[in-house]
Amino acid sequence: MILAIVAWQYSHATPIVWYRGIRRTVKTLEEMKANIMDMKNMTLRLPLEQAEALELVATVDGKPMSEEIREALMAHVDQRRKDPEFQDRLKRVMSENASALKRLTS
Amino acid sequence: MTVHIDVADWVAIVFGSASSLTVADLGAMRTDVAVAALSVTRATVAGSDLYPDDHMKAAALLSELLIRAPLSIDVFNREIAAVTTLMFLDQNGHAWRPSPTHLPYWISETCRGRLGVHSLAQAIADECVCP
Repeated sequence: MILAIVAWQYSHATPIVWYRGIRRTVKTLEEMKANIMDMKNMTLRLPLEQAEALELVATVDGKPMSEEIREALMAHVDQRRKDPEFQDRLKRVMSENASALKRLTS
Repeated sequence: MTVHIDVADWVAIVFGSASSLTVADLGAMRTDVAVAALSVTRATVAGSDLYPDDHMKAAALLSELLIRAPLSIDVFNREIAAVTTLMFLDQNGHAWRPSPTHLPYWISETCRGRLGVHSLAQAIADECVCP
């Protein structure tokens, strides 16, 4: 039998669950959103010409270079997601193999 | 020349209009792991492709996506790995039509480490309609 004890943390109004002797704090929606927005630091090496172009674009737009890179990356992914040719091919491939793929998820 | 699947393609497959997946279903999506797995089709040794033909590349791609598991929910990871491999083969002119009984078996055996890239490539080639 699974026994979970749920209590309420008065100070932060956050529910706490004890499950199999382990204390877990249930994340609120705001905490989950904050996690999605977590940042990861990384080093980017660019050829000099690209770095100069990036600096120029960032100056013209009045934005930090890192923001320009983030926006370009998201635009690239979004373009692919909205690419009708890619999505049509994806639909076709999935429908042609629907029975095999259904066996994977059932 | 081989057309590769990049991480933007993979994200498009994960959240594609043909997929029933939503962000809430996915749990953690590790794009850095996906990048590492997708790069296997580009792998070279001393200037030559590590996997010489498209079937080998597809088998290596499927194997890497299953073992590295960029999607934490296993059932979704298996489905997306299979669709990504189907898309890789399709965009390189190979129509892979895996049998509904074979595909879950190969995937399960690969996840358990019982099916290597060479055997998987042979299995893919046997059910591929090639140009």
